[in-house]
Amino acid sequence: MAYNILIVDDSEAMRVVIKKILRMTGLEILVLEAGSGSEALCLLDEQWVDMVLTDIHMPNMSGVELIEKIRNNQELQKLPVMVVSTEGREDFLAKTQKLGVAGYLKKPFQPTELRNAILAILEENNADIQPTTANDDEDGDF
Amino acid sequence: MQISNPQQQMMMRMAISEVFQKMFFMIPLADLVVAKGKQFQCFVPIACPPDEELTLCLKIDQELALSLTENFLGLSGDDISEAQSNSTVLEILNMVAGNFLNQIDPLGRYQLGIPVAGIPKEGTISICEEFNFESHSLVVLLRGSIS
Repeated sequence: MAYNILIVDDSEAMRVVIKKILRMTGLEILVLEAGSGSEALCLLDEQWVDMVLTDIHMPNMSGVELIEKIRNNQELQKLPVMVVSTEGREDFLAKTQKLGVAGYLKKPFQPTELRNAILAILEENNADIQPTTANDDEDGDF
Repeated sequence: MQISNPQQQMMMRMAISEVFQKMFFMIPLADLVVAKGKQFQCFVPIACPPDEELTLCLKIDQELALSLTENFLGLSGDDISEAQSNSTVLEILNMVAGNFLNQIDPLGRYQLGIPVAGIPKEGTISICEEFNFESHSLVVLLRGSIS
């Protein structure tokens, strides 16, 4: 089974790194990328996405605003969203928890932390997921 | 709770070290080194409403920026564009700033802005941390002071 995962981050470098970590999951993943919240909403409107990974601090539309818009859209409100952000302060964590995020990972992170978090979320939302161990021998390098 | 300047410096050092250890598998040496060749500079505004503003600035040897980008993106030097190198350094600054704020301001009074390339307006320097990465210089400055 292939998964469509959308990465939303205004940093091109971070999108590249997350893409590499998604490859480490050993799953068949089609990666979609958006450099802003509005670009992400357009993509979500056009195609099926199994999971969103979003940053919080982005110009024009913050990650929190993006999640609010996703939750207010009847077709997307159950879409698993994971936050990957430098923001780790209590009020932001509480805000995103209220919005029902599936996971929150603070940057900086180790590649295996993100890989495991993604696998756990996909597993929770897709009973038939069989994460392979093909890349388990990797040392966690980007 | 008031956090003294030496405590702030320690927190900044920890924030920088954590970013480099986790994302680049490198341990920065807190050491003076003369800047070499061209440098890249960027900054991120940190606002505390209603009118307090700090700026966190990063100055890095471009050769070091290229080497960090190779490490981060897994590309070889010849394949790296200036935009990719700049994007990597801006992301480093973003992570350092966020990590520092998480420690110094757990209640979220300060709001982190978006990092941009360039030189910020003048301001009193309250923290200056200089690092040596394989004989290349990386400097992080905080302009303005945390009350």
